[in-house]
Amino acid sequence: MPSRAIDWEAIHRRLAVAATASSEGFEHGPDEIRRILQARARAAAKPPVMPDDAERLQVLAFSLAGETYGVETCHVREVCLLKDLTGIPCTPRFVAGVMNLRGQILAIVDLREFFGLPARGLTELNRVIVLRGGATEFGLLADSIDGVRSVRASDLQESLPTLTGIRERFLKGITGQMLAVLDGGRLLADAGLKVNEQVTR
Amino acid sequence: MSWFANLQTRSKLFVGFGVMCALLIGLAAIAYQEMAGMQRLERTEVDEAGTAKEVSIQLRADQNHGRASLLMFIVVHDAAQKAAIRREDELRSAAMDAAIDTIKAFITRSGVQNVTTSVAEVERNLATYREGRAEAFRLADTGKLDSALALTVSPTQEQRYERLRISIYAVGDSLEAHQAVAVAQSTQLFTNTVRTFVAIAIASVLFALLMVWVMNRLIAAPLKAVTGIAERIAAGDLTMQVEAEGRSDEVGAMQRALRTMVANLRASNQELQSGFSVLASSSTEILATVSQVAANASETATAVAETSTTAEEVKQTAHVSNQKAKNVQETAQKAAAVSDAGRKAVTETLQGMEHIREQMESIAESVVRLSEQGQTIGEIIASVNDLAEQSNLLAVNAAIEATRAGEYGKGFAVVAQEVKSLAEQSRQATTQVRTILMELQKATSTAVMATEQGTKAVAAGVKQATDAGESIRVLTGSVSEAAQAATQIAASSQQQLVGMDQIASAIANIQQATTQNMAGTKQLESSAQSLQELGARLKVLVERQRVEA
Repeated sequence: MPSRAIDWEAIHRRLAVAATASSEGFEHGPDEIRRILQARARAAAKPPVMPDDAERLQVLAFSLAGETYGVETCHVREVCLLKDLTGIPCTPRFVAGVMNLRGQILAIVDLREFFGLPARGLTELNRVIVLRGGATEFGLLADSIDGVRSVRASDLQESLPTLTGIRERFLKGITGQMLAVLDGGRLLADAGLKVNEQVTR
Repeated sequence: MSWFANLQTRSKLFVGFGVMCALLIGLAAIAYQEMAGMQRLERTEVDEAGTAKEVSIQLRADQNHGRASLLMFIVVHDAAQKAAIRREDELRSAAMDAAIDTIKAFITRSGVQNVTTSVAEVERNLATYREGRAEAFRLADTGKLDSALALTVSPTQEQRYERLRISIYAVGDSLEAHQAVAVAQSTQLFTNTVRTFVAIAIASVLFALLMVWVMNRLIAAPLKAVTGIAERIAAGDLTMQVEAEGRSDEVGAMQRALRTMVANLRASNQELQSGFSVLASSSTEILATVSQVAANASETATAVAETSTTAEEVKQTAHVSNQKAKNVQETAQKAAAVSDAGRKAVTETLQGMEHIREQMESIAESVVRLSEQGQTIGEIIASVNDLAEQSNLLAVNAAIEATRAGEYGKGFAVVAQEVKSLAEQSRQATTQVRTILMELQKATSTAVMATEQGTKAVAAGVKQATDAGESIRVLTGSVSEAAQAATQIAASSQQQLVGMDQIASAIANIQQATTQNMAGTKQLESSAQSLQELGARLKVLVERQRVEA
């Protein structure tokens, strides 16, 4: 038997507060709505504060297997949710499968396999970054999209000694925030990504 | 001489004096016999022989007369005279026969030997003579006097007559000789008798001396020995051995009796000694036992005193227990009332529990509804999140397009950024909501669990209340039983009190008896003491008798 006495008064008060909050807080009055929207518009209307005119890269940052990568937006067509991934047999491991994106069959590449990263931790892997370079289009699996960032080119450092192997080829650089910017162009142009296999019986 | 020794003293004396008497009587008898013999000799041998001799003489005379009468018979012719002569002759014949008979009788009586043949001769001769005479008489009777006479004087008859006469004379001589012999015999007898008397007298004297010696040895000596032994016994010496010669007379009996007496005395003395030892030891034991009994009696007295004290205490305890039993009874009644109230309380509790259970169920239902609505919210939130994500992606795509648009896309980039931030905010909000929903879910599940627990607790509480009710019922039963038991206890403690009173009075009696016991034991002790002293004295007394040599 719990010895503490239940303060029913306090509970009732809190419930009353919550009730009023839920009943009144959800729906704003039209004046309220207008006010909020106007505030937003004003905020949005402010000219964007431009940082210094350093050369900047627009990088789409995404996280994959606990690491943050980035790819230049010029190579990115769009991002979308992974939906209906279909595995294709007799394909290399880095080919996760294909996806139907608004009627277009898109090859999905698992960078982990491509880079030979050890699988560590749980990954959601439900975002697809559609890279487009010329005629080549494929999607990259990502855990989450962090958004488009503006990165100064001077912040990019050369690859760290720890990053070795295949990634070194495709790595453009690393920022101070541990954002590994991949060279989208090289990825798109890589012959290793091209799968041209014929199944012989 | 053992047979003599074995005779009774009376018999010995009989024998001794008897022999003396016998000797005396023998002497007398011999004397008598001798006298009688002499007298007989006198009578028979001498007188009777003389008589016989005279008879024989008479016989001769008669013979002669007979002859003469025969001649006269023959001569005389008178019948009357003849008859008278015949008669006289017959008388004479008879007298001769009688005389012969007398002689024969005498011979037979006296036992003379050699006369018998003579007498027989006489008889024969007489018979033959009488034949001739008879013939002669017959002849004479018949008148043949001549023949009669011739016969009478015939040489045959004369021979016969002579022979008869000789024989009669022979008989007479024999008788005379016999008489002389008898006289000589008588004299001889007298001399013999005198000699015999003397011999017997000497023998008697000797025998008397012998008897004196024998009696002395057989009677007086043993008596002296026995007397000596008796004196020693009187002096207290029992060590000597009494010899018994095994005689079966009074002396032997006395010796045996004395030996038996000595042996018995010795044995009894030994027994006495051992008995006195036993007495001494027994009296010591008795003393010890009596002392112990006295000690035990005093212990008993103390124990009895303690017991009476204990009985008093028990009585008090019985009082107390009686009181307590009454208290228990009252308490039991109160407890019964309380248990009644308890039962009612339990019933109310059960009702309350039931009420609680209903409330719990309604709470559970509300909570479940809440949970379901939470799920609905979750779904909505999921869709909102989805929207947010898509908005996010959209914003990203917009940003990408904006970058592709270059300069003109910068403003769009801002808008895109704004949209992204909005989407982000909404995502955060949804995340928050989800968090809150999760907490809500947790809370609802906790609530449901709590309700479940509560229901279980209520059920348990119902069970407990029922158990409590049962326990109260059982308790009521026990309490009523206790009340009954208390009543019984009160009754039994009452009886106990009565019993205790009895015990107290019995203990008083025991105490009295013990006191008497102790007095008696003291007396017993003193008696045992005196017994012990007596035993010691007796022992000393008996030990004076020397039993072992």
